[in-house]
Amino acid sequence: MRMTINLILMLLIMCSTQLIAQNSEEAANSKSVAILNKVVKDVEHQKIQTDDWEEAKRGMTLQDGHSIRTGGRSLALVTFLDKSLLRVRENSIVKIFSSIEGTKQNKNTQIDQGVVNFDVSKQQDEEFKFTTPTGLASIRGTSGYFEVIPDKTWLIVEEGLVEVKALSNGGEVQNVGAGNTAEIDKEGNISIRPTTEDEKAKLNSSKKDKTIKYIIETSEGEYELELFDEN
Amino acid sequence: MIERNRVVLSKLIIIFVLLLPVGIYAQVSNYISNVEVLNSKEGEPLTVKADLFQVAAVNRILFYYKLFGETEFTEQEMSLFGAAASTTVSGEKIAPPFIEYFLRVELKDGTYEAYPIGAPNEAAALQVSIQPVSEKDRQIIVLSPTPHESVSLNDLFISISLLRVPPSIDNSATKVFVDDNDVTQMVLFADDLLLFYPENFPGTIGEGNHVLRVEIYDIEGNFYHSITTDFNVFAEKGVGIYAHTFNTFFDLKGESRNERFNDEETWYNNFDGKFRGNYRDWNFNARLFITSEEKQYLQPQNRYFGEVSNDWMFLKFGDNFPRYQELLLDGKRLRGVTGGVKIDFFNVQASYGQINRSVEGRLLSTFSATQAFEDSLILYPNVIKIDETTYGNVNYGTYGRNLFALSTFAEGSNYKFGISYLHSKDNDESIEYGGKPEENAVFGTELKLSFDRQRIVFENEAAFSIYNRDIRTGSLTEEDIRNLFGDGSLLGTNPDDLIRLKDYLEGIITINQYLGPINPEEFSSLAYESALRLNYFNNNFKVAYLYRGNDYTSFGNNYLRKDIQGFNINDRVRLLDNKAFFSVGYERLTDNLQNTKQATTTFNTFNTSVSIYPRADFPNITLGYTRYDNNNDLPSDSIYAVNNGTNSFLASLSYDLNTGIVHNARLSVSTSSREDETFTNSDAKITTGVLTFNSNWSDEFTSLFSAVYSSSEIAGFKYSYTTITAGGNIKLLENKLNLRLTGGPSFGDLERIAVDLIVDYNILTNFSIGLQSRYYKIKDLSNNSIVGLTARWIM
Repeated sequence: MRMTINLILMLLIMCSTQLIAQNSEEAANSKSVAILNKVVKDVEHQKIQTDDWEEAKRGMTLQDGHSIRTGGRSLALVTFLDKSLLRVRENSIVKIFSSIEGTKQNKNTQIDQGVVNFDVSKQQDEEFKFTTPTGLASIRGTSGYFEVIPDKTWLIVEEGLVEVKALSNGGEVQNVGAGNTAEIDKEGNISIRPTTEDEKAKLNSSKKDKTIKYIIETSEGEYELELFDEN
Repeated sequence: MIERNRVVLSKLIIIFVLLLPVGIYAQVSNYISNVEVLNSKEGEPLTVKADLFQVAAVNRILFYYKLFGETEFTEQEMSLFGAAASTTVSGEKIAPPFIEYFLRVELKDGTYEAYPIGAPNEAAALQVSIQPVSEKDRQIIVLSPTPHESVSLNDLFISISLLRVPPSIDNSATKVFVDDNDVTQMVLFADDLLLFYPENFPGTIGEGNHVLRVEIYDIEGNFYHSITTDFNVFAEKGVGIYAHTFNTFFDLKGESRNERFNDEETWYNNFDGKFRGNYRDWNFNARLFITSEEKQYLQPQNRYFGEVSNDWMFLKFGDNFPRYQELLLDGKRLRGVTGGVKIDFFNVQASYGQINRSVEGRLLSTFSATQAFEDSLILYPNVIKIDETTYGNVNYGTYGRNLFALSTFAEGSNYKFGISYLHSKDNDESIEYGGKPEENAVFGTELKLSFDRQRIVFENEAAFSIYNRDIRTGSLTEEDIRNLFGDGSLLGTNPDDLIRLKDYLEGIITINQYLGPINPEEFSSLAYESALRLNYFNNNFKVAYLYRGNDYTSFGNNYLRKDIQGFNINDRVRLLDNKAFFSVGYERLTDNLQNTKQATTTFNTFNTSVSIYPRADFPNITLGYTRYDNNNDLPSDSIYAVNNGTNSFLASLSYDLNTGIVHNARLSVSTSSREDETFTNSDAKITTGVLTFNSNWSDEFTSLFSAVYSSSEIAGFKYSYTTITAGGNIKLLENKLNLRLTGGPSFGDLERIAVDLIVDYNILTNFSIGLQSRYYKIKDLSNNSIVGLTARWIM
């Protein structure tokens, strides 16, 4: 009996130690790396090492490894500590990886699907990478747009220069200048061409984060409705 | 702590010798007691405030400024409110190393005086050094709200990143202020992030404009740096089912003020109301300023203005300041309408209204036609014919002058091409006693191209004017033309050609013998400018050529320098990560383009400056030197001779000493010496030194001290004085009551005692009242007292 108790105690101590160790590790990595500056409609947030998605709120902080998921006609505005900005458009899933060393912040945003507009502050020997299912992009002080589906990635570069690398077939590397669009497919092909008018329209549309709020007054109280201002 | 401060102050006294000035300049003026330049920082709005000795005689005050390397001063009208005038230059125009500026006080009797007197020709314009964006500014990052952002009360939250601050900074010691209220206790510190959610603290931030200040301290508790930004908060209101929100902001101010100048007493009553609102993407602005100084015999003193705008159009009405090509119309007050539409790259803009209000002249005396001819009185410029038998001596009034402008242009991120037209005409029926009514038409074009992400910019602007000096008689008739140019005429021109030309041009301007240019083949009424800017390797390089004929006239820009051509070339280099600037420029201009003067004068200007911003425990330093040489090679005994040279030096030091108590010291010394080699011997030496020392003893108490020394000798006339000013600002009753008392003597050639007391009391968070009082006594000359009450309500 006593042995059983000792065994249980030992197991408890081991579990606690493991738990404390885990928590300490997470605490060490739990520096805030970004904030959610704006949340429109259905935006969810997932912490590291959990499977649960929780409702995201404006002003909440994001830490290394946190994910954001948006629903239809939704938007999440993510601002990193260096003021780099991501506009995560509707039906998108992104995961934020970031490490802070002194006054430098390295960032890697994993876009699993959807549309993300980015406006990256000029980097001081820092990395800002985007990873998609088919490619990897290294950014230094530029702006543009990603559209990602499992088999393909479109990158529109509005300003600056972006280095893109295909993730398969030897990892072809190319530079994409302003005014160009890169397509990276799952076979590892990268094609670069001037941005079309349709794509420019998409790019401009992806920048829109101004919304109009409607207050609906009913006998049961007020309801708030927030829609994108398309003008 | 006291001992520590003593040591610090002792050090400061020593450091003073090295310290540098900027901020406040004082100089002898009949109307302006001092000019203060606030926030002279790259990319940030620069505000200039001028205090006035006397307001009664002042019609308006214009502020002129130019950046390093520019030829032309830009004009901007200052807002007059009480005994002070102020204006703000947009931050996008503010760049290191310095700007030059002067003020022009226009008086109600039609005369004017510059500040400093004689500027910019007889005296050098003032200079204020512009501090570049520093590394420290970049270290404190305000993530939200962004500068000048308008955000709803429900959406407001403040987030600040300290990612970039050096390891020596103690993040937890950071202080956050909103409108000078310390909100640090309510701020959540999350590593390098500072977050403040006002919704958790109802009442801390209300509707209206707010100023956010963040102060950071090092691990020893010493103040390190602060940044300031502003934002606007509006409330969301439900207007009904499916209603959009309409956001509004009102700022209402009223003032009643009594001024006594010796035995003369005057009351002034003013109301200033501002409105701002938005509905969806529509923005609305309005302003109404009503003053007891509005008089029919003056140009308008009241102001009213309204504006409606969105992304693709704007409409302004009332007193607006339209901007077209600089050579045509640039910031002149127009009482009327200005509107514009933008459809993709295509833009069109038009303005119509009055730039001069008619002011009737005065008939001083009358005499018979016989007397007028016998005594040759008709030769006097102010004598006019009243009727067939009577002539009169008059003070001329001002004709009402209307202006129409139209511009259409295509504009993209890397190009702009446009054409503009301006027409302006005096209404000769608007007054009875006037001089010669005039008319003006100008045609302009502009082209701008940029390459390599705006690193290469090529700008061109050209305009051609026609100008009629006297339209009283109207256009010539066909009969007049045939008589003048027909058979037997010595002029030998085909009158039919002239009649056809008249028919064509008459729709544009009155055609008669007073129409100019007289010599268009010499391009006398042509103006053009070309400039190339290059921005590579931390160099801002510019080379420009300009030409302005002696007859070029635009009623939309009266102060353009004419009869001049030449080039300027300058470069500004940023070194050591913006810790040092080196600037050098050279300009060579000549006049007499159409041989209308006795000789051609060459104007050579060389200037250079070095600015050092070490950002360590050492003063910021700016040293500048300018050399002007003007010469027309005529013998020195000729009354037309021009031969002078001026050396101008500027030294400026500023130093922040932080020991828990923040001290800021500035010292500026400028001197100019002009040698006139002509027989008039108009030599001039002007030296000005300003020392200021401000201390923030606590959040509630600040003190200031300044000493100004001015010495001038112009054509043998000497004038020098010293002014000492000391005072402080204290906040009481939980910052609701603000008291500011300053005063001090001037001695030397100006013996004056000056005391100012300002009291502001915030009865409510959006309603305040204030008392402004001032007493000046100039020995053996004048007593001047001002007492005013103001009330301000923000909604």
